[in-house]
Amino acid sequence: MSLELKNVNYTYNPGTPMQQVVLQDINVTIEKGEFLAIMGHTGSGKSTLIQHFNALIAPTSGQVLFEGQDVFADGFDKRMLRSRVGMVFQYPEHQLFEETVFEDICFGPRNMKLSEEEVKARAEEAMKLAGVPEIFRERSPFELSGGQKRRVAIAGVLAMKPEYLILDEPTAGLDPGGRDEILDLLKNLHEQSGISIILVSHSMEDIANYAQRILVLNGGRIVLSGTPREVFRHADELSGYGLSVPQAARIMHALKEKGFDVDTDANTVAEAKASILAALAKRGVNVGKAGEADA
Amino acid sequence: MSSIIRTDKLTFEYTRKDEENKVIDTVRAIDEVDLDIEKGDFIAVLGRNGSGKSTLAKHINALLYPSGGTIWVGGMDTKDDAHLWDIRQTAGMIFQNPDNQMVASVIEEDVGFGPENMGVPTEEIWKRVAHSLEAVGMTAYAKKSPNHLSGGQKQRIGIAGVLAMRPQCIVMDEPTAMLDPIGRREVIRTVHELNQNEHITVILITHYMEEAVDADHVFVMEHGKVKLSGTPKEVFSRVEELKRLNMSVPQVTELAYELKKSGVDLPDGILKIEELTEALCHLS
Repeated sequence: MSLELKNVNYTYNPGTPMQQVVLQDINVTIEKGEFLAIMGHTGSGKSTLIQHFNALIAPTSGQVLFEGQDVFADGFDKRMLRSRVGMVFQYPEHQLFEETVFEDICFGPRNMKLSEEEVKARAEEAMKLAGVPEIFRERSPFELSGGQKRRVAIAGVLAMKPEYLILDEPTAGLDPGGRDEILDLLKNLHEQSGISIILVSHSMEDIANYAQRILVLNGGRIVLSGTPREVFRHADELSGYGLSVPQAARIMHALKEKGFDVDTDANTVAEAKASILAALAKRGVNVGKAGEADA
Repeated sequence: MSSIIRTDKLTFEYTRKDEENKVIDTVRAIDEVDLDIEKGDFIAVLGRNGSGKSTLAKHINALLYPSGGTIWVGGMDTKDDAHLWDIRQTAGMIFQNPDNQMVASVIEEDVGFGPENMGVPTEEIWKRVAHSLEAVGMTAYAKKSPNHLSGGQKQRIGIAGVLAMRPQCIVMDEPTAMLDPIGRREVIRTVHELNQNEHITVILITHYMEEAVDADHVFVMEHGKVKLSGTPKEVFSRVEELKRLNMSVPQVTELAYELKKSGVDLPDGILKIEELTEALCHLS
């Protein structure tokens, strides 16, 4: 079970003076159940890349494979693909249009030509999964706050029961509370429902906290790939791509320079804290309430 | 008196009405807020969505009028219609989406749009356009089309357009929310330069605490009220409270707070990496 891009190249307006190469030689396999983050600065090809995954864009050359099958082969059921590989675009709340929240969530499964019973059952389940409060059911989606609207939009995609969920900057424009809600929702979907998450994000801190694997795009190529620890080791290289590492990693590097024996691979506050406390203990610094363990 | 914006029990209520125009719901977006902002200050206003930040901003530019209390901009009461244009010229406004504030197909014309509408003589307009573009570091783009700019560049053009109207104060409502990290840095740097070099009062409304670290004063809003107010150091040392208010704290501040909780002897309100490393060096 996997989603695979094989030798994918994509060029806008090939053969015209406006020709522009957007993706070059992309090879990536996303296994079922992964939490993958894609990062890269604006114009690096992220959005073009993710639209290959559910056949919204066809590669200029190369293949997109879903469970080993070429999705652009004759007779491949793209409608099926798009329900199994769900896509949440940037500002998905702009796509809400129905009169009530519940009807909006029903739109996806209804398009799949399921029975009305099944449509309703799936919408119910999606509402619960996405944490859309019951009292919103009959409300107009336009009355909700930004974060709530985004939940409804995600519920609409979840109602199609996707195995892969691709999200293009799902936290853009949300306040910190809204952002944490959406990220925790993704974490739950990943851990409890086993949905594969493919997250495009600008926030290094969020990526460090949630992703298992990172792809870094620059100029349409995959330039780095690995676990957050592996990728964030390349601070200088990342800054050359207009990206950075989480602040925690920068703190650890600054401490290392000052002679502290700390783990420079620490990317989250919890990791950094543990490492600094250990380093202080080694130096014989008396830590007041030493031994307080709250990992 | 060098205050540029002052409010006295400023209150604003939104009402929801049903089909028969009967009021079914009233929400107090701003609840008796008292502010006094000094000329030349760099002010940051933080708060979660729905806390009343944007409603407050719209009062400074007389886009909204108070339902109760008073707001004075440059000494003028915004309720006094006679001052409307003077107020809008005193306080310029920048919004979230740079695409929504582009009006012309050539950048220098876009920047000149404001002063042109104000009836500024042509020669003076071009002077202002040149100066404004220089102030935001976009002179090289004067003759270009805004179409091919990045988000951060577009936002800087928007700022230049406001600057060309010679405001005393710029109100920015989440100007970086739609930008990538590079664009965010560009815009924040530009705004600080304007504040320092042109002595323009800046009111920056943001979700990003990192952007408020260098402000002179920080206000945190919640349910239409100012919940916390003080220098960045005073406000950001209250990590627990900020988290309760749904604010995200920079990792360095949170880390320092966590270390302190575990008994490490650190000062309050660490906002920058160097502050933390130095404090830790002092311990050993």
